[in-house]
Amino acid sequence: MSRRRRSEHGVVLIEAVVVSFAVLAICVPVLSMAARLTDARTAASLEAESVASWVARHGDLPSTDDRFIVDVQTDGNTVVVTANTEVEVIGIGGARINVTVGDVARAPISPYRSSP
Amino acid sequence: MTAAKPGGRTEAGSVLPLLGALIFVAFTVIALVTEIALLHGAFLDVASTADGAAEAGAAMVDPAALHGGSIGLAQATAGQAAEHYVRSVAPSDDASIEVTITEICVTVEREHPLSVLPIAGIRSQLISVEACAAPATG
Repeated sequence: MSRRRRSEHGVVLIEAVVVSFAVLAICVPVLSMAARLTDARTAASLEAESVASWVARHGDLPSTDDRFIVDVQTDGNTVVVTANTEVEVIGIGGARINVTVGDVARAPISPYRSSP
Repeated sequence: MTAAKPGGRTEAGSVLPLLGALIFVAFTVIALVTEIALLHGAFLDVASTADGAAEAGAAMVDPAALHGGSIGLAQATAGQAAEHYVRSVAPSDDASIEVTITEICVTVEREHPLSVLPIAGIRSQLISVEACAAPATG
């Protein structure tokens, strides 16, 4: 194999590595974003549901997780709880993009709950 | 990259198939992850509806049994309460309810339309969640 042919193979290898890195550099943040948003949505959903169940059964507000902003409303015989939380979707250096993710949970008010 | 090989072929374009394959795999992975995330969100909604319906039904205790010192469900009322809850929260979902004296089980089903996988011929996915609840003191 001549020196020139070896050089061409080396260039092709470098191109392949650069292209692979570029594709990964595009994909990984998108996948990370999807994972963070899904995780936050799940956490918000569980928080909203546990608060809704508590309010429906006991009437008063339970102690909530500080990461969530919880809003409790009553719609007829149903407790409607909205839990919102902030997620850092992308953080590069000092710059950050935050998104608010939330979920709504409903629970029927128990006729036997301990306080109105 | 245009130097000719002995057979007249060059190295030009040799990275192109790799680039194409990588982009295809990357977009497929992103599409699948997005679809799974959306499906998970829909599953949470259906699970929440099923839980609420089971709880609404389990609150309908039988007063006669209660006076007798035991806790049991008023089966007809419990079923109606669970049905009413599903209709008011998720009118488009299908629900099947099984009530016994001690327990109510609600199965909620939703046909979730997929957003990316229709390209592969899969248009929707059935999400089915069963939740059971029983009356109790405490």
